[in-house]
Amino acid sequence: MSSRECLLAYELLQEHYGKIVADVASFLLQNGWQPLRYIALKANLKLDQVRKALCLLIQHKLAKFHIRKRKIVEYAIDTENVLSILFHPKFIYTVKLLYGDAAELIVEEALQHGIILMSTAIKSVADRLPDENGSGKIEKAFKDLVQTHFLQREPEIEKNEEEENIVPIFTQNEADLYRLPTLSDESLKRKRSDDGSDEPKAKRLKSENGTPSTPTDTVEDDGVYWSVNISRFRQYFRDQSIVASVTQRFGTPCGEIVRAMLRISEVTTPANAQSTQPISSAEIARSLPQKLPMEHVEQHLKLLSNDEDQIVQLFDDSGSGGLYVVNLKNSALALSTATVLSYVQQRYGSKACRIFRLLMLKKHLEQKQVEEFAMIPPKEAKGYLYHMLAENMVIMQEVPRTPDHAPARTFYLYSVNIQRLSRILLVKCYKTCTNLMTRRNHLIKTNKRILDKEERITAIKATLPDADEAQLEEIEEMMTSSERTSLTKHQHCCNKLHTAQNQLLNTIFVLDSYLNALSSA
Amino acid sequence: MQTDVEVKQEPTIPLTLETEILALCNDNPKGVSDKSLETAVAGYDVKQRVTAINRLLTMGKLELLRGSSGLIYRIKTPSAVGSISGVDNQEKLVYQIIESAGNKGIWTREIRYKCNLMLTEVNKILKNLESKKIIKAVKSVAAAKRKVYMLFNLQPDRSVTGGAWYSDQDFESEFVEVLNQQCFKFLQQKCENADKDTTLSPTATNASSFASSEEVLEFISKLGISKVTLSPEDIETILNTLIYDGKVQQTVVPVANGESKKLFKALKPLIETTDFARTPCSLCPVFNECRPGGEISPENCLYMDEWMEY
Repeated sequence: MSSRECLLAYELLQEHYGKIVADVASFLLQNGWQPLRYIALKANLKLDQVRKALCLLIQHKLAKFHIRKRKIVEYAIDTENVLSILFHPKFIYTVKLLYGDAAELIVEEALQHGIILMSTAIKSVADRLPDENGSGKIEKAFKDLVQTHFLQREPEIEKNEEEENIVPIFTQNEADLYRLPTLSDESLKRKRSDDGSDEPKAKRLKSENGTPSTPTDTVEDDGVYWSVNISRFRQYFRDQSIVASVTQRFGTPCGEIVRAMLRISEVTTPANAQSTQPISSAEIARSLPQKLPMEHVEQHLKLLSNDEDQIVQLFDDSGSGGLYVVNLKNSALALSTATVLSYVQQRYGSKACRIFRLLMLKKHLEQKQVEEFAMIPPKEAKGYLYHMLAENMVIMQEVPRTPDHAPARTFYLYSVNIQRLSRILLVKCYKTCTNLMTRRNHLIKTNKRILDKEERITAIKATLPDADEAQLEEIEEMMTSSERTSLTKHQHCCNKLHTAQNQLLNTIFVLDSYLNALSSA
Repeated sequence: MQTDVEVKQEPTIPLTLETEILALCNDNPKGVSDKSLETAVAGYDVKQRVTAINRLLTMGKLELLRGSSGLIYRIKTPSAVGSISGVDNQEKLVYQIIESAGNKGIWTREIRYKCNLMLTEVNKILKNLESKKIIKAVKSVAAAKRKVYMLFNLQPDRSVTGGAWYSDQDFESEFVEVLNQQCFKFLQQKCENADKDTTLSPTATNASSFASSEEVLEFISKLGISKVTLSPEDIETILNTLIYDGKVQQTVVPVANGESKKLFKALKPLIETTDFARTPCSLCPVFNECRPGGEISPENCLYMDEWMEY
């Protein structure tokens, strides 16, 4: 884990869970797997505090544990999940767009608690929603979320009564990941679900639990915990970005086609596959929201597959009209390249971007050739090239003609490596995120006095609901106009920093998914 | 009377010596080395021989070359003799070297290598020849400070002057920019026209938004912004720069007579500006030195202050 990511993780945890948790986490990030006592010793914290912090981290799936040598339990941080905290607001917003307010609140509860029982979730959401018939709607929303894999079930503790284990061992049946317990509707009382079913259910059949449940006397669906399925959300965002870029470049019909293809293969493709399942063009045409004539669909698909980025590929000619796949790896590469190019353009100018793209296409070039192909005045071209070299955007390779590497007799070849650049850019994004958060915290600290005053005013106003005009005015005057302006300014700045941070997430996501696609290939 | 005969005796000796030397050189068209000349005209002493040789060189009948073992004297062909008058042997040497370079021209250092003369001498000779309008200096495009010399009446080669993009050895960047924009506008317009026509099927729309380099050339010549006539290859270099800008894509299609033709189409970008580039940190020149709590830090960042103003 790079140091930038560790710093960002520290900031995030401090903001969300407090200093002690952040300290424990940063110690573990720096030192890997550590036992409990060691953490308490080295991080100068009380054993109790460390224990509670670890509980919290494990509950939120941010830390994991294992046994070493049968006696010692060691803990470590799951860095990917920590950085996913950044994406929480985006998850909530997406679910709101897809499934409505009830689902949004369910996901919010799930994210706040880490892992949660279905009944607890429904109960707390029902409390927050003012709707009276809410519980039916809420339950339906919950089922929708499970069916489309946005929520998944946690593995259960294996009841092993022979030995005493130091740590709980989890078992998970793949088929059980999305199996809903049956719940009756009697005023939030729930029957116990049938956990020990032997029938394996295929993951594709997202049908609700059809096995008969044995009526017991316990009320809660105890032991069935649910959590947010982060990789599913990532898949969803990835699909969104692919569709958006295809629409931008090829137009709306092609965008719709790609969206249909991705929707069909939503639940059938594993998260880190290189490409979706092959889909026939007839199936695509059937599932389009606006019906297009069949030949048009086929022609669009042909156009898409002839493009040089190869986001959509022709898998086979068999089947009605040909089988097409969306190549996820290529699309990740295309998006990542576009991000890098956009960064180069913003920072160095469009002429430098031309040089950069030229090097990308031609792989290796000498300086003279760069000037020639790019049709930029030689002095300017030299300037841009060396500036980019100084900041590691461009790599130089010496090819000597003589053993003594004399400069006059050596070829200097320039080239561009997208993979390396994506990684550099991702680290820069993390640093920028940290910077934005630091600045926001600094602003809050500097304006603490005004903010406190504002809070007091609102508190006073709340306690006097029937105050008359004069009293209200008096309260308002506690704050001078200059203080008011600085307050509005502070809010504006904070909003801007927040928005920038959220937008930055998009870039982080694109680059991260590209690097993941590379490492899993 | 006797004195007259005596006087006349003297000049004849050198003359006969000269004819002897000439005859010897004629016999050996490849050249006579100094040593063999010495043995052949052994009757005369060194001073007389030297004077004779010098006279022959000045008259242009002999030429002096440096061989591996010493000096070599060669009979000069009549054509080269007649072309220059009033120049001495060194200048002739330099002239011949420049002549052999053809229309690419030759650099002063190379002239020096080939004739092994001193730098100052070579410069003097070159100045001399230039004033006589026999050779001219042409500024090279490849290395901006070098001058190459070539014969006066020759046209410099394209590689030296750079062709249509260079006027007076200066790269015409504005010209290239203007052409760049015009070509792109033409291709964009073509694409839009194809999109507007909704009666066509997608493949037809796509096909009609392509343009070949000849079509673009026609459009540009009609616009009349270029002083020199451009060839299809010139237009292709401009279109290539548009490809490197990411605004145009190229495909190759086979044409009726078995060859393949290049077609170009305007391209829309894959994504708009990336969000990372909207933060001030991405454009910050001191990004690497910035640390929380350091001298350059996010808390006192000037760029962020400006950015939060609006």
